[in-house]
Amino acid sequence: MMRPERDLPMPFRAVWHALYWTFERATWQYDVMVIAILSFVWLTPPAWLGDPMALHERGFLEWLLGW
Amino acid sequence: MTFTGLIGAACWLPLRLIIGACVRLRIHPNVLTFVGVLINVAAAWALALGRFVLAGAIMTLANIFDFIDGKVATELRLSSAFGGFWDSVMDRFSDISLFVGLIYLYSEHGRTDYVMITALAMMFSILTSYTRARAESLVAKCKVGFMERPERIVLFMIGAFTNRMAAVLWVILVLSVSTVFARIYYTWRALNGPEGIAA
Repeated sequence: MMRPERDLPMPFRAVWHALYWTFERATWQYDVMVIAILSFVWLTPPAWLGDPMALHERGFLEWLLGW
Repeated sequence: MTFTGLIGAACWLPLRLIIGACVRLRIHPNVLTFVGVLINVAAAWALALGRFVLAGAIMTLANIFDFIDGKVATELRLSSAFGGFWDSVMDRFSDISLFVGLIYLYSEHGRTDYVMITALAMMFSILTSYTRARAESLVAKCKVGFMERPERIVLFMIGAFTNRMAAVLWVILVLSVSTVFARIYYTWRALNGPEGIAA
């Protein structure tokens, strides 16, 4: 059976599984993905993304690090 | 139990009560679907005006209707092929409405970059559903890819309630693109690959 991802070293295999997603909801893999997404959404300073509606708001990371 | 499973279980109890009420009132599931769409159009209007918290609250209400229609159909024994078709078409209508609301908002602010990001996210969100529907006419099941409708809707609500819509749009765009290509690859492998998993 051809499964090219099996030959990949670990960090690349994780990226492969994130992009070629085959896991069900409510699995630990799903939890990890949700945590990664929420971290990106809430920790990225809005100014970095040029968010038109939150340009002058401080991101959680900025607040945490006192920037 | 996983934490996403725990959240799902916590949401299930109030939804169960609403489903019970709709069943007792014998509300036709197609009516619930249509009401959900109308409420989603109101959410799109709030997004277009930049009133994100209001939009989030309206989206929450709309998606209760969206979630319960299938369950009510099953309990009332009104499940039908047309009901499934109607639900899918109305889901696309709701999705597109929300994106159009954001496109209007960003164009009002003169932000061509975010108009494009929203338009591309909309395009790939529609392709996510289309690739699965088309693939499942050729292979038994094509459920690969992370960014399906429930994930998209929850992300929209998180973006609206916490005013992080730009970050949410990036996530929807990147993961919708990967979902579409995952489905194309899966279907190609099922039809032409050595695994022979076609129906």
